[in-house]
Amino acid sequence: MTKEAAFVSSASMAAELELVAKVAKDMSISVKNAKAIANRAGAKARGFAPITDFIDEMSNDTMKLVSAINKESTALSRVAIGELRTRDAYKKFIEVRKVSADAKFISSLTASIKGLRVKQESEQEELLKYAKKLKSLMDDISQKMAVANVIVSNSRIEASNAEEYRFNLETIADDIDKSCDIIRNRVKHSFHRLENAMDQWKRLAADESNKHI
Amino acid sequence: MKATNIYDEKHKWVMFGRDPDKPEGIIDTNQYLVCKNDRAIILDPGGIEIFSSMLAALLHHVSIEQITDLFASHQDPDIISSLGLWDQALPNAKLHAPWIWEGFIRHFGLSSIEYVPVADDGGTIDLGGVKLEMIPAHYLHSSGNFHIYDPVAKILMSGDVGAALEPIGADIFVDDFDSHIDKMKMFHQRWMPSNRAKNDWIGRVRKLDIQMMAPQHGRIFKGENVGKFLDWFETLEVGAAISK
Repeated sequence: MTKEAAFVSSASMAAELELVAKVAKDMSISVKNAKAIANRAGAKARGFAPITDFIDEMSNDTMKLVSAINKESTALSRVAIGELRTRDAYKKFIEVRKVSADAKFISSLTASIKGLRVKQESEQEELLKYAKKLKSLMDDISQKMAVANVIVSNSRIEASNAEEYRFNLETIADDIDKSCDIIRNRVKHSFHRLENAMDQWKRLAADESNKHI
Repeated sequence: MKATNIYDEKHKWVMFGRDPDKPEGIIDTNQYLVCKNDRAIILDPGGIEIFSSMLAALLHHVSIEQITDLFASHQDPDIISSLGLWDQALPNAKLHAPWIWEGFIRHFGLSSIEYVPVADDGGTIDLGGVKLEMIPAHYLHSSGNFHIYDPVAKILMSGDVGAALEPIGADIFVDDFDSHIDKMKMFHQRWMPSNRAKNDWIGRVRKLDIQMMAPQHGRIFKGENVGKFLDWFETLEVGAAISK
């Protein structure tokens, strides 16, 4: 994984997860289709209807989660940029204190340096809070996908009893299964991307903090 | 960064520039500090790349608390792209800048400093007894542009007017006007877009009593060289890119 700033990761992640929303939407359409077939099949696909209801609900929830992730990752990106700017200013002020130690008014910089440190700490806390929230939202999607896999397996059993509707229902089950895989992989990738960026950010922040003590 | 006292009587003017630590490829700039007692203003504070050198140099002359005001003659990055960092250093300061550029300058980062929009016909900055006049210089070169005139020190901070492109080690003052023309001719022909605006500004500036004309790039004009510059500028055709 290449090194990238937290604000880049979170912004890219929001874009990447747009695909998840699109797949979840397609899944919802497939499920509505499955529901219509199950209705037509009547008693032959009796067990299929509650499954479609569940998948429909799950895809709607996934879309909502992606929308929440979008909001949170934009906020994380904003805080990360703010923190980066504060860190940059802090570094520059420290540099000025070092190179201009003999300046007559150098001590007047102390309050600004302290103020920046406090601001930076508060932004860092906020950054961690957003990262935690994002991970939890992504975790929710992953859990939903794990449950979906089990449900899709059940739907295959139901589809096998649906006689002439079997082929159509099995195709829909395959589509939903593929959609779940895409979502799971995409979320997993985003999760690791965010984790890497945050680990790198923590190391950088700790290094800089040690350097300036 | 080199600091030169250019006036030190009733109050003080310091010019900062000729920065040897400046990254290669960016234009050298002159920043000016005007201060009296517990108040100080930085005129055209400069770009983000020179912020550290500028702040380090400033602290030899004034404390952070003394810097209460900033002035941006226009919106260019070499004038004010350091704003986001000043915003962290001077949360209670005021930035005086053309009203027309407010929405643009804020892109450099401004959350604490107060933006004081300057109306088209200019105004006055009262720096605790030092009155600095903001003289309209629109279209020279920016569509919203001001210069600073100090009637006590008789200094006109003339932004890009009078600018010259020179190597880092150049002298602070113009000594031989005629040989200086080559260093500023192309700059004015190309960067200044309007002959009408130029002549309007010359008419306004000729009415002022100016001992020193201090541009944002290059050397300062003193004494008779101020008049020589105005005469030369008056005959110069600007807006060269169009005529080509």
